[in-house]
Amino acid sequence: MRQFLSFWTLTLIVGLSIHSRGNQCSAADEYDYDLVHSSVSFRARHLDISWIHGRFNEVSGKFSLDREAPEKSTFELTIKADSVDTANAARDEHLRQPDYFDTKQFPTIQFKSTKVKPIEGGYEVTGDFTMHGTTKEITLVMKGGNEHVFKDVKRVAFSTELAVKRSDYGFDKNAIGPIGDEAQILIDCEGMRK
Amino acid sequence: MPDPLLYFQATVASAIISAIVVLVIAMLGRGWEYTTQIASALAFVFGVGVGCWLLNWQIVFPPATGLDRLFIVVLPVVLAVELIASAGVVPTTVRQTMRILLAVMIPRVLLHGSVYISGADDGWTLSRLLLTLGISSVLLVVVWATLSPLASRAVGASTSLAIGLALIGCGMTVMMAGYIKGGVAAMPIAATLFGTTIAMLPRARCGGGSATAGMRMAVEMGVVALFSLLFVGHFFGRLSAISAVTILLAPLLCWVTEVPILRQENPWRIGVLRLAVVSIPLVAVLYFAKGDFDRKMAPLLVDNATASNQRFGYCVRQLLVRSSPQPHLLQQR
Repeated sequence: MRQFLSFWTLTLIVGLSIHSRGNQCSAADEYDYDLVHSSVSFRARHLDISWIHGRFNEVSGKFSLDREAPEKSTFELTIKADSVDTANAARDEHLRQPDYFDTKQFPTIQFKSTKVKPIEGGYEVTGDFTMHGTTKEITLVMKGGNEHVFKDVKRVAFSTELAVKRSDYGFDKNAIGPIGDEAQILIDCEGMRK
Repeated sequence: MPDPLLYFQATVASAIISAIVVLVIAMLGRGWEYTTQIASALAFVFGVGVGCWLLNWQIVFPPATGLDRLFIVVLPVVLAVELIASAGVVPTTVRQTMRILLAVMIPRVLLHGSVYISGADDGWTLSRLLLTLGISSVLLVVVWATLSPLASRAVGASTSLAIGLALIGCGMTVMMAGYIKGGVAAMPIAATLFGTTIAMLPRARCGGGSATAGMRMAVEMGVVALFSLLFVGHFFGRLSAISAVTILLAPLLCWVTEVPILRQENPWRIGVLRLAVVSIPLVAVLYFAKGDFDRKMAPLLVDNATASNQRFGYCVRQLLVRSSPQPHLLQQR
Protein backbone atom coordinates (compact mmCIF):
# COMPACT_ATOMS: atom_id res chain seq x y z
CA MET A 1 0.00 0.00 0.00
CA ARG A 2 2.85 2.32 0.96
CA GLN A 3 4.66 1.53 -2.30
CA PHE A 4 1.45 2.09 -4.24
CA LEU A 5 0.95 5.53 -2.61
CA SER A 6 4.53 6.64 -3.23
CA PHE A 7 4.24 5.57 -6.88
CA TRP A 8 1.12 7.70 -7.35
CA THR A 9 2.67 10.62 -5.47
CA LEU A 10 5.66 10.48 -7.81
CA THR A 11 3.42 10.28 -10.85
CA LEU A 12 1.44 13.29 -9.64
CA ILE A 13 4.57 15.35 -9.05
CA VAL A 14 6.02 14.51 -12.48
CA GLY A 15 2.67 15.21 -14.13
CA LEU A 16 2.31 18.57 -12.42
CA SER A 17 5.84 19.52 -13.30
CA ILE A 18 5.32 18.65 -16.99
CA HIS A 19 2.03 20.55 -16.98
CA SER A 20 3.61 23.65 -15.45
CA ARG A 21 6.41 23.53 -18.03
CA GLY A 22 3.83 23.20 -20.74
CA ASN A 23 2.15 26.32 -19.41
CA GLN A 24 5.46 28.20 -19.44
CA CYS A 25 6.01 27.28 -23.10
CA SER A 26 2.59 28.38 -24.15
CA ALA A 27 3.09 31.77 -22.43
CA ALA A 28 5.37 32.85 -25.28
CA ASP A 29 3.58 33.93 -28.43
CA GLU A 30 5.47 33.43 -31.66
CA TYR A 31 5.21 36.00 -34.41
CA ASP A 32 6.37 36.12 -38.01
CA TYR A 33 7.73 39.31 -39.58
CA ASP A 34 4.99 40.87 -41.70
CA LEU A 35 6.77 42.21 -44.76
CA VAL A 36 3.69 44.15 -45.91
CA HIS A 37 3.43 46.27 -42.78
CA SER A 38 7.10 46.51 -41.81
CA SER A 39 10.16 48.24 -43.13
CA VAL A 40 13.89 48.33 -42.68
CA SER A 41 15.25 51.61 -43.94
CA PHE A 42 18.49 53.50 -43.55
CA ARG A 43 20.03 56.87 -44.13
CA ALA A 44 23.61 58.00 -44.51
CA ARG A 45 25.25 61.39 -44.83
CA HIS A 46 26.21 62.56 -48.32
CA LEU A 47 29.17 64.99 -48.48
CA ASP A 48 28.34 65.69 -44.84
CA ILE A 49 25.62 68.13 -45.94
CA SER A 50 22.57 65.98 -46.66
CA TRP A 51 21.07 62.53 -46.16
CA ILE A 52 20.64 59.68 -48.63
CA HIS A 53 17.70 57.43 -47.79
CA GLY A 54 17.26 53.83 -48.72
CA ARG A 55 15.54 50.63 -47.68
CA PHE A 56 15.85 46.87 -47.88
CA ASN A 57 12.92 45.28 -49.66
CA GLU A 58 13.47 41.65 -48.66
CA VAL A 59 13.39 41.05 -44.92
CA SER A 60 12.33 38.06 -42.89
CA GLY A 61 12.28 37.32 -39.20
CA LYS A 62 10.40 36.09 -36.20
CA PHE A 63 10.07 36.89 -32.56
CA SER A 64 8.58 35.23 -29.54
CA LEU A 65 7.11 37.33 -26.76
CA ASP A 66 6.74 36.00 -23.29
CA ARG A 67 4.73 38.54 -21.31
CA GLU A 68 5.17 36.67 -18.01
CA ALA A 69 8.89 36.06 -18.36
CA PRO A 70 10.11 38.75 -20.80
CA GLU A 71 13.74 37.63 -20.53
CA LYS A 72 12.70 34.47 -22.37
CA SER A 73 11.54 36.47 -25.39
CA THR A 74 13.60 36.23 -28.56
CA PHE A 75 14.03 38.40 -31.66
CA GLU A 76 15.52 37.46 -35.04
CA LEU A 77 15.77 39.45 -38.22
CA THR A 78 17.39 38.62 -41.56
CA ILE A 79 17.82 41.26 -44.24
CA LYS A 80 18.72 40.31 -47.81
CA ALA A 81 21.51 42.75 -48.68
CA ASP A 82 20.82 42.32 -52.39
CA SER A 83 17.43 44.00 -51.93
CA VAL A 84 18.96 47.40 -51.19
CA ASP A 85 16.86 50.16 -52.78
CA THR A 86 17.83 53.83 -52.80
CA ALA A 87 15.47 54.80 -55.64
CA ASN A 88 18.40 54.84 -58.06
CA ALA A 89 19.12 51.57 -59.90
CA ALA A 90 22.73 52.46 -60.76
CA ARG A 91 23.53 53.38 -57.16
CA ASP A 92 21.84 50.20 -55.89
CA GLU A 93 23.98 48.16 -58.28
CA HIS A 94 27.07 49.96 -57.00
CA LEU A 95 26.11 49.33 -53.38
CA ARG A 96 25.86 45.60 -54.09
CA GLN A 97 29.47 45.49 -55.26
CA PRO A 98 32.42 44.41 -53.09
CA ASP A 99 33.39 48.02 -52.31
CA TYR A 100 30.18 48.25 -50.26
CA PHE A 101 27.86 45.38 -49.23
CA ASP A 102 29.58 42.68 -51.33
CA THR A 103 26.29 40.84 -51.59
CA LYS A 104 27.73 37.83 -53.42
CA GLN A 105 30.03 37.17 -50.48
CA PHE A 106 27.82 38.43 -47.65
CA PRO A 107 24.22 37.94 -48.82
CA THR A 108 22.49 38.71 -45.52
CA ILE A 109 22.50 41.15 -42.63
CA GLN A 110 21.32 39.44 -39.46
CA PHE A 111 20.32 40.17 -35.91
CA LYS A 112 19.77 37.48 -33.29
CA SER A 113 18.93 38.37 -29.71
CA THR A 114 20.85 36.93 -26.79
CA LYS A 115 19.32 38.90 -23.90
CA VAL A 116 15.99 40.66 -23.49
CA LYS A 117 15.13 43.06 -20.70
CA PRO A 118 11.76 44.76 -20.24
CA ILE A 119 11.86 48.55 -20.04
CA GLU A 120 9.16 51.16 -19.94
CA GLY A 121 7.36 51.15 -23.27
CA GLY A 122 9.18 48.18 -24.73
CA TYR A 123 12.24 45.99 -24.43
CA GLU A 124 15.98 46.43 -24.34
CA VAL A 125 17.28 43.72 -26.63
CA THR A 126 20.94 42.75 -26.74
CA GLY A 127 22.10 40.50 -29.54
CA ASP A 128 24.56 39.67 -32.29
CA PHE A 129 24.40 41.91 -35.33
CA THR A 130 26.16 40.51 -38.39
CA MET A 131 26.85 42.70 -41.40
CA HIS A 132 29.48 42.31 -44.13
CA GLY A 133 30.74 39.15 -42.42
CA THR A 134 31.50 40.88 -39.12
CA THR A 135 29.51 40.16 -35.97
CA LYS A 136 29.25 42.63 -33.10
CA GLU A 137 27.11 42.71 -30.01
CA ILE A 138 24.64 45.58 -30.00
CA THR A 139 21.75 46.67 -27.83
CA LEU A 140 18.50 47.83 -29.37
CA VAL A 141 15.75 49.74 -27.62
CA MET A 142 12.58 48.21 -29.06
CA LYS A 143 9.70 50.57 -28.48
CA GLY A 144 6.13 49.31 -28.71
CA GLY A 145 4.83 45.85 -28.07
CA ASN A 146 1.13 46.72 -28.10
CA GLU A 147 -1.15 44.02 -29.38
CA HIS A 148 -3.99 44.33 -31.84
CA VAL A 149 -6.25 41.62 -33.15
CA PHE A 150 -7.24 42.24 -36.75
CA LYS A 151 -9.37 39.69 -38.60
CA ASP A 152 -8.61 37.05 -35.96
CA VAL A 153 -4.86 37.52 -36.28
CA LYS A 154 -2.97 38.90 -33.30
CA ARG A 155 -0.41 41.51 -34.27
CA VAL A 156 2.38 43.15 -32.29
CA ALA A 157 4.67 45.91 -33.50
CA PHE A 158 8.03 47.35 -32.47
CA SER A 159 10.21 50.21 -33.68
CA THR A 160 13.90 50.75 -33.17
CA GLU A 161 16.84 52.69 -34.53
CA LEU A 162 20.52 51.95 -34.51
CA ALA A 163 23.60 53.75 -35.72
CA VAL A 164 26.41 51.69 -37.21
CA LYS A 165 29.83 52.69 -38.43
CA ARG A 166 30.59 50.96 -41.71
CA SER A 167 34.29 50.88 -40.88
CA ASP A 168 33.51 48.78 -37.77
CA TYR A 169 32.02 46.10 -40.00
CA GLY A 170 34.93 45.63 -42.37
CA PHE A 171 33.77 47.97 -45.11
CA ASP A 172 36.71 49.32 -47.08
CA LYS A 173 37.80 52.58 -45.42
CA ASN A 174 39.04 53.87 -48.77
CA ALA A 175 35.57 53.49 -50.27
CA ILE A 176 33.81 55.52 -47.59
CA GLY A 177 34.36 58.75 -49.53
CA PRO A 178 31.43 61.13 -50.01
CA ILE A 179 29.00 58.86 -48.17
CA GLY A 180 29.61 59.11 -44.44
CA ASP A 181 30.99 56.29 -42.35
CA GLU A 182 27.99 56.23 -40.05
CA ALA A 183 24.62 54.92 -41.22
CA GLN A 184 21.38 55.01 -39.28
CA ILE A 185 19.13 51.98 -39.61
CA LEU A 186 15.44 52.33 -38.79
CA ILE A 187 13.44 49.17 -38.19
CA ASP A 188 9.64 49.18 -37.97
CA CYS A 189 8.53 45.65 -37.50
CA GLU A 190 5.02 44.26 -37.29
CA GLY A 191 4.61 40.62 -36.36
CA MET A 192 1.69 38.29 -37.02
CA ARG A 193 1.09 35.48 -34.56
CA LYS A 194 1.68 32.06 -36.11
CA MET B 1 36.61 57.40 -53.18
CA PRO B 2 39.03 56.92 -56.12
CA ASP B 3 42.34 58.70 -55.60
CA PRO B 4 44.25 58.57 -58.92
CA LEU B 5 47.34 60.24 -57.43
CA LEU B 6 47.61 57.57 -54.74
CA TYR B 7 47.15 54.81 -57.34
CA PHE B 8 49.88 56.35 -59.47
CA GLN B 9 52.26 56.62 -56.51
CA ALA B 10 51.63 53.00 -55.51
CA THR B 11 52.12 51.80 -59.11
CA VAL B 12 55.40 53.68 -59.56
CA ALA B 13 56.66 52.52 -56.14
CA SER B 14 55.85 48.88 -56.99
CA ALA B 15 57.75 49.12 -60.29
CA ILE B 16 60.80 50.78 -58.69
CA ILE B 17 60.95 48.41 -55.70
CA SER B 18 60.63 45.28 -57.84
CA ALA B 19 63.34 46.53 -60.22
CA ILE B 20 65.67 47.31 -57.29
CA VAL B 21 65.08 43.87 -55.76
CA VAL B 22 65.90 42.16 -59.07
CA LEU B 23 69.07 44.22 -59.58
CA VAL B 24 70.31 43.74 -55.99
CA ILE B 25 69.72 39.98 -55.99
CA ALA B 26 71.24 39.64 -59.44
CA MET B 27 74.35 41.40 -58.12
CA LEU B 28 74.57 39.42 -54.88
CA GLY B 29 73.75 36.02 -56.34
CA ARG B 30 75.96 36.16 -59.41
CA GLY B 31 76.91 32.69 -60.52
CA TRP B 32 74.10 30.97 -58.68
CA GLU B 33 71.79 29.08 -61.01
CA TYR B 34 68.46 30.02 -59.47
CA THR B 35 69.23 33.69 -58.85
CA THR B 36 66.69 35.07 -61.29
CA GLN B 37 63.89 32.84 -60.08
CA ILE B 38 64.51 33.96 -56.49
CA ALA B 39 64.85 37.57 -57.68
CA SER B 40 61.59 37.33 -59.62
CA ALA B 41 59.75 35.82 -56.63
CA LEU B 42 61.08 38.37 -54.14
CA ALA B 43 60.44 41.23 -56.57
CA PHE B 44 56.82 40.08 -56.77
CA VAL B 45 56.50 39.90 -52.97
CA PHE B 46 58.13 43.28 -52.31
CA GLY B 47 56.66 45.10 -55.32
CA VAL B 48 53.08 44.02 -54.64
CA GLY B 49 53.58 44.38 -50.88
CA VAL B 50 54.80 47.98 -51.10
CA GLY B 51 52.03 48.86 -53.56
CA CYS B 52 49.34 47.44 -51.28
CA TRP B 53 50.87 49.17 -48.26
CA LEU B 54 50.84 52.53 -50.04
CA LEU B 55 47.24 51.91 -51.07
CA ASN B 56 46.45 51.55 -47.36
CA TRP B 57 45.14 48.04 -47.91
CA GLN B 58 43.26 46.43 -45.06
CA ILE B 59 44.62 42.92 -44.64
CA VAL B 60 41.88 40.73 -43.21
CA PHE B 61 42.78 37.38 -41.72
CA PRO B 62 41.17 34.91 -42.06
CA PRO B 63 40.44 36.15 -45.58
CA ALA B 64 36.79 37.06 -45.98
CA THR B 65 36.50 38.28 -49.56
CA GLY B 66 37.61 37.01 -52.95
CA LEU B 67 40.30 39.65 -53.14
CA ASP B 68 41.61 38.77 -49.65
CA ARG B 69 41.82 35.12 -50.67
CA LEU B 70 43.74 36.09 -53.82
CA PHE B 71 46.41 37.98 -51.88
CA ILE B 72 46.57 35.82 -48.75
CA VAL B 73 46.08 32.33 -50.19
CA VAL B 74 46.30 32.07 -53.99
CA LEU B 75 49.32 34.21 -54.85
CA PRO B 76 51.57 32.93 -51.99
CA VAL B 77 50.72 29.29 -52.84
CA VAL B 78 51.38 29.81 -56.56
CA LEU B 79 54.65 31.57 -55.73
CA ALA B 80 55.73 28.66 -53.51
CA VAL B 81 54.79 26.07 -56.14
CA GLU B 82 56.61 27.99 -58.87
CA LEU B 83 59.73 28.27 -56.70
CA ILE B 84 59.69 24.52 -56.05
CA ALA B 85 59.02 23.81 -59.74
CA SER B 86 61.82 26.09 -60.94
CA ALA B 87 64.36 24.57 -58.52
CA GLY B 88 64.54 21.57 -60.86
CA VAL B 89 64.34 19.00 -58.07
CA VAL B 90 60.92 17.74 -59.12
CA PRO B 91 60.24 15.85 -62.36
CA THR B 92 58.43 17.67 -65.17
CA THR B 93 55.29 15.52 -64.82
CA VAL B 94 54.99 16.35 -61.11
CA ARG B 95 55.57 20.04 -61.91
CA GLN B 96 52.80 20.05 -64.51
CA THR B 97 50.47 18.10 -62.21
CA MET B 98 51.04 20.67 -59.45
CA ARG B 99 50.15 23.47 -61.85
CA ILE B 100 47.01 21.71 -63.07
CA LEU B 101 45.94 21.09 -59.46
CA LEU B 102 46.45 24.77 -58.73
CA ALA B 103 44.39 25.74 -61.75
CA VAL B 104 41.60 23.47 -60.53
CA MET B 105 41.75 24.82 -56.97
CA ILE B 106 42.06 28.56 -57.67
CA PRO B 107 38.47 29.23 -58.91
CA ARG B 108 37.05 27.21 -56.01
CA VAL B 109 39.19 29.07 -53.45
CA LEU B 110 38.20 32.45 -54.87
CA LEU B 111 34.50 31.59 -54.63
CA HIS B 112 34.79 30.15 -51.11
CA GLY B 113 31.95 31.12 -48.77
CA SER B 114 30.09 33.04 -51.48
CA VAL B 115 26.47 32.60 -52.59
CA TYR B 116 27.72 30.45 -55.48
CA ILE B 117 29.09 27.82 -53.10
CA SER B 118 26.70 28.15 -50.16
CA GLY B 119 23.62 27.72 -52.33
CA ALA B 120 22.14 31.03 -51.15
CA ASP B 121 21.63 31.96 -54.80
CA ASP B 122 18.85 29.74 -56.16
CA GLY B 123 20.07 30.17 -59.74
CA TRP B 124 23.33 28.41 -58.92
CA THR B 125 22.73 24.69 -59.03
CA LEU B 126 25.54 22.22 -58.34
CA SER B 127 25.84 21.29 -62.01
CA ARG B 128 26.07 24.95 -63.05
CA LEU B 129 28.70 25.57 -60.39
CA LEU B 130 30.77 22.55 -61.47
CA LEU B 131 30.52 23.57 -65.12
CA THR B 132 31.62 27.14 -64.30
CA LEU B 133 34.54 25.94 -62.17
CA GLY B 134 35.54 23.46 -64.88
CA ILE B 135 35.47 26.02 -67.70
CA SER B 136 37.38 28.53 -65.57
CA SER B 137 40.08 25.99 -64.72
CA VAL B 138 40.43 24.95 -68.36
CA LEU B 139 40.78 28.60 -69.41
CA LEU B 140 43.48 29.17 -66.79
CA VAL B 141 45.40 26.02 -67.81
CA VAL B 142 45.21 26.99 -71.50
CA VAL B 143 46.49 30.54 -70.95
CA TRP B 144 49.13 29.36 -68.46
CA ALA B 145 50.40 26.57 -70.74
CA THR B 146 50.32 28.73 -73.87
CA LEU B 147 52.16 31.73 -72.49
CA SER B 148 54.75 29.90 -70.39
CA PRO B 149 56.78 28.60 -73.39
CA LEU B 150 56.72 32.05 -75.01
CA ALA B 151 58.40 33.53 -71.93
CA SER B 152 61.33 31.17 -72.47
CA ARG B 153 62.11 32.58 -75.93
CA ALA B 154 64.70 35.27 -76.59
CA VAL B 155 61.93 37.89 -76.73
CA GLY B 156 60.24 36.55 -73.60
CA ALA B 157 60.26 39.99 -71.99
CA SER B 158 57.49 41.15 -74.30
CA THR B 159 55.23 38.33 -73.04
CA SER B 160 55.63 39.57 -69.50
CA LEU B 161 54.99 43.17 -70.62
CA ALA B 162 51.90 42.02 -72.57
CA ILE B 163 50.49 40.45 -69.40
CA GLY B 164 51.28 43.70 -67.60
CA LEU B 165 49.26 45.56 -70.23
CA ALA B 166 46.41 43.09 -69.85
CA LEU B 167 46.53 43.62 -66.07
CA ILE B 168 46.23 47.39 -66.54
CA GLY B 169 43.31 46.86 -68.93
CA CYS B 170 41.76 44.49 -66.38
CA GLY B 171 42.19 47.02 -63.56
CA MET B 172 40.62 49.86 -65.51
CA THR B 173 37.73 47.74 -66.76
CA VAL B 174 36.95 46.34 -63.31
CA MET B 175 37.10 49.87 -61.86
CA MET B 176 34.78 51.22 -64.55
CA ALA B 177 32.39 48.35 -63.79
CA GLY B 178 32.10 49.84 -60.29
CA TYR B 179 34.50 47.64 -58.28
CA ILE B 180 37.20 50.18 -57.42
CA LYS B 181 39.28 48.10 -55.01
CA GLY B 182 39.30 45.12 -57.37
CA GLY B 183 40.55 47.31 -60.20
CA VAL B 184 43.18 49.08 -58.15
CA ALA B 185 44.56 45.70 -57.05
CA ALA B 186 45.75 45.08 -60.61
CA MET B 187 47.97 48.16 -60.66
CA PRO B 188 50.77 47.12 -58.25
CA ILE B 189 50.86 43.66 -59.85
CA ALA B 190 51.19 45.11 -63.36
CA ALA B 191 53.84 47.55 -62.13
CA THR B 192 55.77 44.71 -60.49
CA LEU B 193 55.77 42.79 -63.76
CA PHE B 194 57.05 45.87 -65.63
CA GLY B 195 59.73 46.56 -62.99
CA THR B 196 60.92 42.94 -62.88
CA THR B 197 60.99 42.55 -66.66
CA ILE B 198 62.82 45.81 -67.35
CA ALA B 199 65.40 45.05 -64.64
CA MET B 200 66.02 41.61 -66.16
CA LEU B 201 66.26 42.84 -69.75
CA PRO B 202 70.04 43.53 -69.79
CA ARG B 203 70.76 40.05 -68.46
CA ALA B 204 68.38 38.43 -70.94
CA ARG B 205 70.04 40.32 -73.81
CA CYS B 206 73.41 38.96 -72.73
CA GLY B 207 71.97 35.53 -73.36
CA GLY B 208 71.39 34.54 -69.76
CA GLY B 209 69.29 31.39 -69.73
CA SER B 210 68.50 31.95 -66.07
CA ALA B 211 67.04 35.38 -66.95
CA THR B 212 64.40 33.72 -69.10
CA ALA B 213 63.62 31.39 -66.19
CA GLY B 214 63.05 34.45 -64.01
CA MET B 215 60.82 35.97 -66.67
CA ARG B 216 58.89 32.75 -66.98
CA MET B 217 58.16 32.94 -63.28
CA ALA B 218 56.99 36.56 -63.67
CA VAL B 219 54.75 35.49 -66.56
CA GLU B 220 53.26 32.63 -64.56
CA MET B 221 52.54 34.85 -61.55
CA GLY B 222 51.10 37.47 -63.89
CA VAL B 223 48.79 34.96 -65.60
CA VAL B 224 47.42 33.70 -62.27
CA ALA B 225 46.93 37.26 -60.98
CA LEU B 226 45.24 38.33 -64.24
CA PHE B 227 42.90 35.33 -64.23
CA SER B 228 42.05 35.75 -60.53
CA LEU B 229 41.32 39.48 -60.77
CA LEU B 230 39.05 38.96 -63.77
CA PHE B 231 37.36 36.04 -62.04
CA VAL B 232 36.74 38.09 -58.87
CA GLY B 233 35.65 41.10 -60.97
CA HIS B 234 33.11 38.97 -62.82
CA PHE B 235 31.69 36.89 -59.97
CA PHE B 236 31.74 39.52 -57.22
CA GLY B 237 31.67 42.70 -59.28
CA ARG B 238 29.83 43.59 -62.46
CA LEU B 239 32.50 42.78 -65.04
CA SER B 240 30.86 41.07 -68.02
CA ALA B 241 31.97 37.57 -69.01
CA ILE B 242 32.82 38.68 -72.54
CA SER B 243 35.11 41.47 -71.30
CA ALA B 244 36.77 39.13 -68.79
CA VAL B 245 37.45 36.41 -71.36
CA THR B 246 38.70 38.93 -73.96
CA ILE B 247 41.19 40.46 -71.51
CA LEU B 248 42.35 37.01 -70.35
CA LEU B 249 42.92 35.77 -73.89
CA ALA B 250 44.45 39.00 -75.23
CA PRO B 251 48.07 38.07 -74.26
CA LEU B 252 47.75 34.91 -76.37
CA LEU B 253 48.05 37.19 -79.41
CA CYS B 254 51.79 37.27 -78.63
CA TRP B 255 51.86 34.01 -80.62
CA VAL B 256 51.19 36.05 -83.78
CA THR B 257 54.91 36.77 -84.03
CA GLU B 258 55.68 33.07 -84.14
CA VAL B 259 54.56 32.80 -87.77
CA PRO B 260 57.59 32.00 -89.98
CA ILE B 261 57.71 35.43 -91.71
CA LEU B 262 57.95 37.34 -88.46
CA ARG B 263 59.94 34.87 -86.42
CA GLN B 264 63.30 35.94 -87.85
CA GLU B 265 62.66 39.64 -87.24
CA ASN B 266 64.66 41.80 -84.89
CA PRO B 267 63.69 40.97 -81.24
CA TRP B 268 62.80 44.61 -80.57
CA ARG B 269 60.44 44.68 -83.54
CA ILE B 270 58.87 41.41 -82.43
CA GLY B 271 58.43 42.81 -78.94
CA VAL B 272 56.79 46.02 -80.17
CA LEU B 273 54.57 44.08 -82.57
CA ARG B 274 53.43 41.75 -79.78
CA LEU B 275 52.50 44.66 -77.50
CA ALA B 276 50.68 46.42 -80.35
CA VAL B 277 48.67 43.31 -81.26
CA VAL B 278 47.77 42.58 -77.62
CA SER B 279 46.67 46.20 -77.15
CA ILE B 280 43.97 45.98 -79.84
CA PRO B 281 41.42 43.83 -77.94
CA LEU B 282 42.31 45.59 -74.69
CA VAL B 283 41.55 49.01 -76.19
CA ALA B 284 38.29 47.66 -77.61
CA VAL B 285 37.22 46.31 -74.20
CA LEU B 286 38.16 49.62 -72.53
CA TYR B 287 36.15 51.53 -75.13
CA PHE B 288 33.00 49.54 -74.41
CA ALA B 289 33.65 49.63 -70.66
CA LYS B 290 33.91 53.43 -70.83
CA GLY B 291 30.60 53.61 -72.71
CA ASP B 292 28.98 51.40 -70.09
CA PHE B 293 30.49 53.51 -67.31
CA ASP B 294 29.20 56.74 -68.89
CA ARG B 295 25.70 55.32 -69.11
CA LYS B 296 25.46 53.65 -65.70
CA MET B 297 28.03 54.97 -63.24
CA ALA B 298 28.91 58.48 -64.35
CA PRO B 299 25.48 59.92 -63.42
CA LEU B 300 26.26 58.98 -59.82
CA LEU B 301 29.54 60.85 -59.93
CA VAL B 302 28.20 63.92 -61.76
CA ASP B 303 26.41 64.99 -58.60
CA ASN B 304 29.62 64.66 -56.61
CA ALA B 305 31.61 66.46 -59.26
CA THR B 306 29.06 69.26 -59.40
CA ALA B 307 29.06 69.63 -55.63
CA SER B 308 32.84 69.48 -55.60
CA ASN B 309 33.05 72.07 -58.39
CA GLN B 310 30.64 74.28 -56.51
CA ARG B 311 32.80 73.99 -53.40
CA PHE B 312 35.90 74.62 -55.50
CA GLY B 313 34.25 77.66 -57.09
CA TYR B 314 33.27 78.93 -53.66
CA CYS B 315 36.85 78.53 -52.40
CA VAL B 316 38.26 80.31 -55.46
CA ARG B 317 35.79 83.16 -55.03
CA GLN B 318 36.70 83.45 -51.34
CA LEU B 319 40.38 83.48 -52.23
CA LEU B 320 39.86 86.18 -54.88
CA VAL B 321 37.78 88.28 -52.52
CA ARG B 322 40.42 88.03 -49.80
CA SER B 323 43.36 88.75 -52.11
CA SER B 324 41.71 91.68 -53.93
CA PRO B 325 42.05 95.21 -52.44
CA GLN B 326 39.14 95.94 -50.13
CA PRO B 327 37.53 99.30 -51.11
CA HIS B 328 36.52 100.16 -47.57
CA LEU B 329 40.06 99.50 -46.33
CA LEU B 330 41.51 101.67 -49.09
CA GLN B 331 39.14 104.42 -48.14
CA GLN B 332 40.28 104.16 -44.53
CA ARG B 333 43.89 104.53 -45.60
